[in-house]
Amino acid sequence: MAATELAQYLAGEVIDRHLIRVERQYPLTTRHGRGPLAEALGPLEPLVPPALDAFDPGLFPEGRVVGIDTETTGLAGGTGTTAFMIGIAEVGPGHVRLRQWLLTAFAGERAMLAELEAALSGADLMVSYNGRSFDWPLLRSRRRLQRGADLPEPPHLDLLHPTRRLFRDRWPDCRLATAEQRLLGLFRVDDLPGSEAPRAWRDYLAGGPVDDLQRVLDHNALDVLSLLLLGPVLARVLHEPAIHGANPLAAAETWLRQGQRPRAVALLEQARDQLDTRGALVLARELRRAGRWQEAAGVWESLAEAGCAEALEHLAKYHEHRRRDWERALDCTRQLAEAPEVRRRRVRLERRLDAGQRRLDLGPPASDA
Amino acid sequence: MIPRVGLVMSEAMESMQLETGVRDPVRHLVQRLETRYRARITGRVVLPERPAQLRPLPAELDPRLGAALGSRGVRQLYSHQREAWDTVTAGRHTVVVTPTASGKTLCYNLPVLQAALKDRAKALYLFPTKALSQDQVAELMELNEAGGLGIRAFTFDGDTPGDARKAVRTKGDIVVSNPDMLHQGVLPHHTKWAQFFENLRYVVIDEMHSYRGVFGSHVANVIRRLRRVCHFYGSDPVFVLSSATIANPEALAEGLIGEPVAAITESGAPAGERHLLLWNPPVVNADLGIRASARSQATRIARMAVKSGLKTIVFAQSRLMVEVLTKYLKDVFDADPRKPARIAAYRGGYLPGQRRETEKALRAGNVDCVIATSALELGVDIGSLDVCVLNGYPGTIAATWQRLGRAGRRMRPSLGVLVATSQPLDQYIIRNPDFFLGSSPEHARIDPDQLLILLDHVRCAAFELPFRKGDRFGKENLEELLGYLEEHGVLHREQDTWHWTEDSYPAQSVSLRSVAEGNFVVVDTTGGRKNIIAEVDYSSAAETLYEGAIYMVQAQTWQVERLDWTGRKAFVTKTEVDYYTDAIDYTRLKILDRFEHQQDGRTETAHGEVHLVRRIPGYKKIRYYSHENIGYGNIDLPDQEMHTTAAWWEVAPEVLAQCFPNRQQALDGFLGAAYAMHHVAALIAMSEPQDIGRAVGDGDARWFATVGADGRGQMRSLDGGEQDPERETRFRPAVFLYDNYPGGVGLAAPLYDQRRRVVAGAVQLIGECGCRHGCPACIGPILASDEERGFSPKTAALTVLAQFEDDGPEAPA
Repeated sequence: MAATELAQYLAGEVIDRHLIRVERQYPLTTRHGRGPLAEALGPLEPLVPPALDAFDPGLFPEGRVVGIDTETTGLAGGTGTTAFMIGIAEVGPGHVRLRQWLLTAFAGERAMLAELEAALSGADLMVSYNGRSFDWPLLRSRRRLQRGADLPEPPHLDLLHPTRRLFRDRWPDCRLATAEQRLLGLFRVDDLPGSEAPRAWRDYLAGGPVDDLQRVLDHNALDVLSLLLLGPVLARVLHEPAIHGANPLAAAETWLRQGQRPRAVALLEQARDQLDTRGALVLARELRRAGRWQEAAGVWESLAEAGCAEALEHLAKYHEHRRRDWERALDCTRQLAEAPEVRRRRVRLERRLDAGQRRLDLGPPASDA
Repeated sequence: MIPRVGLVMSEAMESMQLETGVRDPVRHLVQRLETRYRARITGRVVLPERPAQLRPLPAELDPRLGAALGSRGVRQLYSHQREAWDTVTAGRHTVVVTPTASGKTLCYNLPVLQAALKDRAKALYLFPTKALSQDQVAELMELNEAGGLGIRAFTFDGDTPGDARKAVRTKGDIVVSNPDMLHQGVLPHHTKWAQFFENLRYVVIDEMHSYRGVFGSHVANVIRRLRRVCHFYGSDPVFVLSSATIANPEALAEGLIGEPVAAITESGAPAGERHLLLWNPPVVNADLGIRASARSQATRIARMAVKSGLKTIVFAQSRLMVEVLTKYLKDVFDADPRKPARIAAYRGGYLPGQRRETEKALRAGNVDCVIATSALELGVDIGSLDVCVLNGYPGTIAATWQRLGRAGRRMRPSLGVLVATSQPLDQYIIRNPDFFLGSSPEHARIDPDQLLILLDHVRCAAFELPFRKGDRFGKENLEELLGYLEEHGVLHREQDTWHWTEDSYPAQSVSLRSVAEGNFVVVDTTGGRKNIIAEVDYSSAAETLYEGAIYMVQAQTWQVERLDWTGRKAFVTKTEVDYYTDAIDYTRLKILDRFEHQQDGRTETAHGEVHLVRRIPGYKKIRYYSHENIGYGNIDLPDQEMHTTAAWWEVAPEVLAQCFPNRQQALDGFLGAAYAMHHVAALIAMSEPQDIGRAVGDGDARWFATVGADGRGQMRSLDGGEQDPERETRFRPAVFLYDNYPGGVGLAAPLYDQRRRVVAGAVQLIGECGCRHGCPACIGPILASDEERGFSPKTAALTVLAQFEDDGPEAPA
C-alpha cells in the first residue's frame, strides 16, 4: 500500500517520503482505566530521574513532561534492531497530545529521528517504561547509524525501576500491562501483544495487509498514555505504600535517597510488623541516626533473638560504647562467629573486665603504679 | 633393585660434578641419555648458541616511553623489535614471527604506546584465550607504571562486569579482548563503541597461528566485519600480528586481514644452545609391535632432569595423562607432605586462581617440574626452563617446536625430548626423523570464503550495518548471498540497500569455535562412588561411550550405564564380562562433483564434492579370544549427514583382479591403506586426525567397507546388510579422505595437490614398521589368526598403495 493511502487509513499524514505522523488529542476528562487523563497532572514527588540531584517541586507538574515508547523490529537489541514507530504523549491545555511516527520504509528513519529531536527539545522530563536500557540506547544507536548528532536527552525517568522496587515481591511480574491493571485499573481489550508488532511491520514491508499496523498504533497509544498516568500514581504509592500493597522498605529507601529521613522512619515504623530482617536493620539504623538509641536497641534486640548476627554486632557496639556495659557487650560478642574484628573486641572487653575484677579484688591501685 | 641403586650412584656422582661446576648440567644430561639409551634415540639435533642482534631505540620514540624502557633495563632493541617499529609506524600491516621469550610484545607495545601518548590513539588487542589477555594487561601495566605513562588498558571479555563496561568503551586507550567477544559483544553493539572505533589506530592479533582451520576462517570474517565497522567510523587501523613459527606466516596474516602484510621472520633475541632428541620407547613384543609406554619413558627422563637440578616441563596430550604423570613424579619427589611441592600439574579444567598460582611459582622457580597440556603452550608467562619432555607427538611440527620452545634460556643450553607413543603418527615421525627435522613447519590454512562460514558472517555483518549495492565482503558474489537472505526474510531490500529485519541477534547463534571442544569424562559410579577414570575425545565419544558399551582402562572393564551427551559425561560401573563391544560405523559417500582429477585407465585420483551419511546403528558384543559374535545392542544416535569435500583414490577392477587372488584380500588392502593414509594426511594438512575422515567404498554409494569383528574387511549394502564382494557387479573400491566439517574447510584440495606425498608417506609408514603383518602403528589392529592363515594384511595394503603410486604421468609442477 502506498504511503499516502496508508496515512489515510491510519488517519495520519505523510510528512516525509517514508514517514507518516498520526496526531490525536484526548480531552483530560477521557477515562484511562479507573480515572481520567487529568490524573497525569498529579505531583511526581518523590520520583526523581537519576540525572537530577534532587526533586525540584517548582518544575512539575508545570514542566513539560513527555511519555515515550517505541515499537521495534525485535527485542534482541544491538545495531540490527530498528524502531519503526515512536509514540510521544504530553499534557497540553485541557488535553493530552499524542504524536506517533510510523516508518513506511527504512529510508524514513532519518526524518523520524529529526522529528523526535524536535519533539524532545525543550522537554523537562522524559518518562518511559524500561526506556533507559531499551528504547533510549536503541534510538541513540539508530541516530549514530544515521551519522546524526546525539539526540537531546532530557532528564529521563524510567518507571520500570521504581515499579520493580516497590512490587517485585508482590506481583507475578512487572510488565507495563500488569502495572496498568493493578495501579490504573486498565484492562486492555483486543490489544495486539507488543511481541506481535515486529511481524506486523515486516508483513507490511513485504506488501502484506495493513490492518495490524492500526492495532500496533493503538497499542502504542495506550502505552504512552499509561506512562503519563503511572508517574503520579507511583508517587502516591511512595507516600502510602501500605494501601497500595507495595513494599514499605522500598518506599522508605526512596525517601532516604531524597534525604527525607523523618518520612522514611515514619513509613518503616508504621510497617514495623511487615519488615523483614533487612528492613528492620534499616529502621534501627535510622532510629540510631535520629538519636533514638533505645528504640534502635529494641529493634536489634528482637533481631538478635531471631539469630541475626549483624544485629548482635550492633548491640555489642551499643553496649560497649554507648552504655559502657562491658558484660553485656562481651555476652553479645561471644555469640558472634570468630573473626579478627570480633576477636579484638572480645579481648579488649575481657581485659577491661579483668582489670575491673582485679581492682575489685586488690582494692585501689598503688599510687606509684 | 640393582639398576635403581645404580641410578642413585650415578646421581650422587653427578651432583659432585655439579658442585665443582665443571660441566653444564644440560650437556651432561644429554650425554648420559645418549650413552645409556643409544638405541632409543632415533634422531638428534644441536642448534648452536645465537648472539643478540641489537639496534638503537628509534630517535622519534617518545622520551617518556624511552625512560620507561630504561627503568626496566632496556636501552636497545633486538633487531626484530626495531624492524617492527619501522614497518608499523610507517603504517604497514606487519606480522612478527619469533620464538618464545624473544620479546615479541615490545614489537607491538611500543608503537601502540607511542600513538596513545602522542595522539590519544586507541588500540585493540586480541588474544585467543582469556588467560593470555590477563597476562598481557599485567605486562603492559608494568611498563606503564614504570614510566608513569598514564595509559589505560582494560580487559573486555565475558568476565567484565556490566557497570565497568562503559568505562572500558569510553576511557580505554587499549582494550584487550578475544575474537569471540569482538564477534558477539562488541561489533553488534558498535554504536556504543563509536568513540573507540573513530580513534582506533592499531589492532594487535597475538598468537596468530592459533587462527587456522575452521576457527581461523571464522576469525578472518570477524576481522572483515571489524574493518567494515572501522570504515563506517572513518578509521583504517594498522594490524600487527605475532605468530609462532609456521610455514606461511605472511600468507596466513594476509588471509586473516585481507591485505598485504610485511613479514618479520628473523629474531634478534639471543638464544642458548639447544639440544633435541627423538626418542622411541623400546619394543617389548615384536610380533604385535608393542612398545613400552611413552609414559614410562617420559617419567624416566623427567626424573633424571629434575634430579640434575634442571627446571623441567612435561607436555602430555590429555588431561588424564597429565594427572598420571604428575602422580608418578610426585611419588618420587613429593613423598614428604611437609615440604613444599616440587612437582605441579597445569591443565584445562583447573580453576583460574590455581593456574595463576602455578604460573607464579614457576616464574619464581619454586617448582622444579610442571606437567601440562597444551594449555601452557600459548604465551602464558612462566619464565624459562631447562628441559622439555613431550609425552607423544603434539600432532604438528609447529606445535612441537612451540612446546619445545618452553625450554630455552638466553645464555644456557637447553634440552627437548620428543617421546613417541605407539600411535601411527608418532611412529612415523620418530622413524623418519628427517621428516620432522628436515621439513619446514606446516602451512596454516584458512578458507574464509567457505560458503557456510561466509554466510554466517554476512548475516552478522548485515545486522551491524546495512549492505549497499557494490559492497564487497569476501571473494564470493555478495549480491547473491544477500538475495538468498532476502528470500528467507532475514533481510529487506530497499532500493540499493539491504536492511536487517529479522527479530534475532545473529552473532548469538554463530560460534567461532564450532568444532566442539569438550572432552567426555568417564565417571565410575560403582558402589556409589563418583571417580573420573578417563577422558574421551568428543569425536570418538559416539563410538566408544554409547549406553551398553564396555569401556576398558588398563584391561579392567566397565559398562556404560548412561551417556549424558550435553553434560559430556558417561556413567559407568565396574563389571566382569568375557566380551567387549564394538560400534558398527556405517559411513558411505557419494561423489557429487569432481573438481580435478587424474586418471590413466587403471587408477583415478580426484578431489571434489561428496555427500556423506554416517550412522552408528548399534554395537556388537564380541567374546574374547574366540571372537564370536554373542549379541547386538542398539544405539540411539541420529544419522550424521553432510556435504563436504574429499580426495579419493580408485583402482579399476581389472587391475585389482591381477593383483589379488580374491576381492576379499583387495578389500583388506584398501582398509589398511586407508588407515595409514589417513594418519599421513593429517600430518600433511596440519590438522588433527579427527579433522579428516576416512572411508572405503564405492564412489556411487552402492556399497561401503568396514572392518568386521573378525578383523577382516566386510562389504555392506546401504541398509547395512553384509554382501559377498565376489558377487558385486561394480567392484571399484576407493579410499576417501574427507574434510570432516560440513561444507569442507579446504582440507581436501591440498590433499589432492599433495596426493603423491600422502601415498608415499603411507608406504613409508607401513614399510618401515617393525611388525610382521600389521599393527596399530601402521595399518590398524590385526588379529593373530591372520598369521596362521598365511595372509599378510600389511602386504595387501602395500599392494594397493603401489597402484596408487603408479597413477599416471607426473602432473606439471
